[in-house]
Amino acid sequence: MRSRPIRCSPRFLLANNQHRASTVRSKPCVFLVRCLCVVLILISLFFVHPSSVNAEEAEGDPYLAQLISQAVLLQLADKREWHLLLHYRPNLFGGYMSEADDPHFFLSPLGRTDSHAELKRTIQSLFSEEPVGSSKQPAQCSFIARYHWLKDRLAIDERKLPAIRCERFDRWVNELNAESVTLIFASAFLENPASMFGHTFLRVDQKGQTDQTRLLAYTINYAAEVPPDEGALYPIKGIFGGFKGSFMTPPYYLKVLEYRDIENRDIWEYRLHFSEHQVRRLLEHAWELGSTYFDYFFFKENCSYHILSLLEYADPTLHLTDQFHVWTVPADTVRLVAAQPVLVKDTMYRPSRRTVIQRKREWLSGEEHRLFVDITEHVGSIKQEGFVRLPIQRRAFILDVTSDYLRYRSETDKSHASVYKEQNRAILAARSALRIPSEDVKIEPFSKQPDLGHGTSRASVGTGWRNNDTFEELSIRAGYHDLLDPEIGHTQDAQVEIASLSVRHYNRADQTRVERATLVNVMSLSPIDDLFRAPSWKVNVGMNTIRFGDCQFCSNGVLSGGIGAAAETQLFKREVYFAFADAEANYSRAYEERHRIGGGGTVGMLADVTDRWKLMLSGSYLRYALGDKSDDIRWYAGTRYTLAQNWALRLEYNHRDRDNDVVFSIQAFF
Amino acid sequence: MFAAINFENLSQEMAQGQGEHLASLATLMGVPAEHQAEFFAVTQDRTFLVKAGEASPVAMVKAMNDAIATHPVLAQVSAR
Repeated sequence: MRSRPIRCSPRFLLANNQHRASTVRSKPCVFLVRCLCVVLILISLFFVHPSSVNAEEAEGDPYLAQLISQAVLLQLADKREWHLLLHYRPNLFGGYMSEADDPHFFLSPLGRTDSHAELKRTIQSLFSEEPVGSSKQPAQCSFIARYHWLKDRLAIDERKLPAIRCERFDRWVNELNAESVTLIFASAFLENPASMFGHTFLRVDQKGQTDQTRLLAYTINYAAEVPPDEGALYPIKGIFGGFKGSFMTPPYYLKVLEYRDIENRDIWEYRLHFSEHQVRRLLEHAWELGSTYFDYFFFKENCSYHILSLLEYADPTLHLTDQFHVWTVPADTVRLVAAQPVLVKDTMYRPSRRTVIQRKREWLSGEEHRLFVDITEHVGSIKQEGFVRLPIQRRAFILDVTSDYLRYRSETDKSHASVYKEQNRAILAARSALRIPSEDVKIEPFSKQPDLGHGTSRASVGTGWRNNDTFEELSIRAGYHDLLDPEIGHTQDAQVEIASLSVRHYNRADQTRVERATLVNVMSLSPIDDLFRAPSWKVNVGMNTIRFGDCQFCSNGVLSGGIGAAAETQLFKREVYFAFADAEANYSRAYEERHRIGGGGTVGMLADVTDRWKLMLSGSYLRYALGDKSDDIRWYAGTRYTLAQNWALRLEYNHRDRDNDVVFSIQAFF
Repeated sequence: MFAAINFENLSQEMAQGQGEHLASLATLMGVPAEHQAEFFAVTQDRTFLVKAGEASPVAMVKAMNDAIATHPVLAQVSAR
């Protein structure tokens, strides 16, 4: 089985050099020539430049000695910017260590842990044309950000230490033609576990770029390099640093194609307020990082973390990466960036194809919608009288949304892609015959921008009643969002809960116990209608506390999954109904043979009563045929009221056979 | 390469007579922004789609280049 990429996607790794080579402003005829040029440049990367002076020879230079003593005097090795450049982080033993894992990233053999040795060696190397680093260029070019920073801080005299021309860097910078930088957030994609938390990268906006041509800008994307034949172990390796991560610069249109067209993910663009000088610093540092690698850790040192480190070097007054200790969730980094004063200039929304179709449908009358569905099934329906009679703008609109839908189908139903493509071709031919341009339609997102969403982690304090006892409860959840949490800024109908723990003290029994623990609990509801027919699914691994037989409070391990369907109505505000076929395995000392395995079904509904108030109801019946032969009827009713972006109240009722549990809690997100 | 990768988006936007992929391609082909509307009108011609459908992005771009070359205004203003 082909492994799926860890998002921060490595898919474009190999293509990257070509993309870096591709030109954006050239005419097609010049296109190939330019590509060839840049390929040649890249090939030259691997040839060693003849060195005239090496670092050791420079040692006798009195100017070198002067610069080093000046650097010592100014304590440059302890400066924040130097630490940012080398990616030093404090370690547990009071020292520090760089997060970069490539030995070529350091000029001194001690550089990874010794900022002074690295600084001294760097100054030495600036006197040399000897190629260094993975990109095999003179130090002034390989580590151009370090060079420019030192040049500035030490007021380096070019007559005594001549500047080397960095042609490769100059060409790269010319190609990027940068004016500003935009932080891009691609929302969660539940179908791929590695994309459940979304993805961030930077877009380098070009001079003279318009809203229409921002597709042509390059991006700076950090991703794990996952070999294509990596098997089942790949998530484990992704989590524990088994892959190398590196920076790439694919053009934005490739990312849009991937996220918007193929994976149907909404994209948010945050244009950043950086001065020309700051943009330049960002690019210089990105250049240094372009040829190196970091061990990739899915939870912390991931795409978002390294993107933050670039922003920090661009503007060292920003303190971003030090806010993240254990994990770096992309949406959190977006919230952090958005929370910085005057950093974000504006926000733009780029809807996924699925969102476009759903929004455009809302603009169709009942009769138009019927025609639209007919046409998606039989292209010949465009000859129907009902369609031909419509005003030309309406016909154009219907054909446009039909084409969107057929393209959506060709991406989501790959086995019939050629059929949909053929149908689309016919629709487009009919559309072009109308000879009018489509009107711009403003597409509103279903869930608002991620920076308005609640924080990733959640802590709750609650109190309640269970059977004949009362209790107090403390809960903590590492991440991320459940179906009842405030939905603003989060993907609709998508639940991802990772690592949560609830501890209860029962007053009458005078017992404190771990009430519930969740390792992972994911649920994806996809409302089905005449156009969209994706299944809903869920997976849960954790434990809870049950009353079973003679046991009042018994720990119960749960492994369960389900597949089902959902539907949506808008009677009040928005309601989603769901039904699942369930399979479940339990482990507890309460059961005979300590386990039971069975299956059953669940039905339920979610309803937004107001913008702040949400309800959820569900009922399940499960019959266990293996182990302890038993059955289980469960009811759940829960409601949430949002107090503020990061505060909510909940009241929940759980019923199982002879076991009733009510809990009222206040929840804080952080 | 832009045309090859974005072939589906371009085909769709050509038929719709506008779009950001098409505008980006126009920029790459040297059509000035103020003449994009003419470029869009030219490429909306269904014959492009038929040709593109049968052949390839290369044929599509070639057909566009030819169309620009023979267009009374675009031929003058495009930086070719």
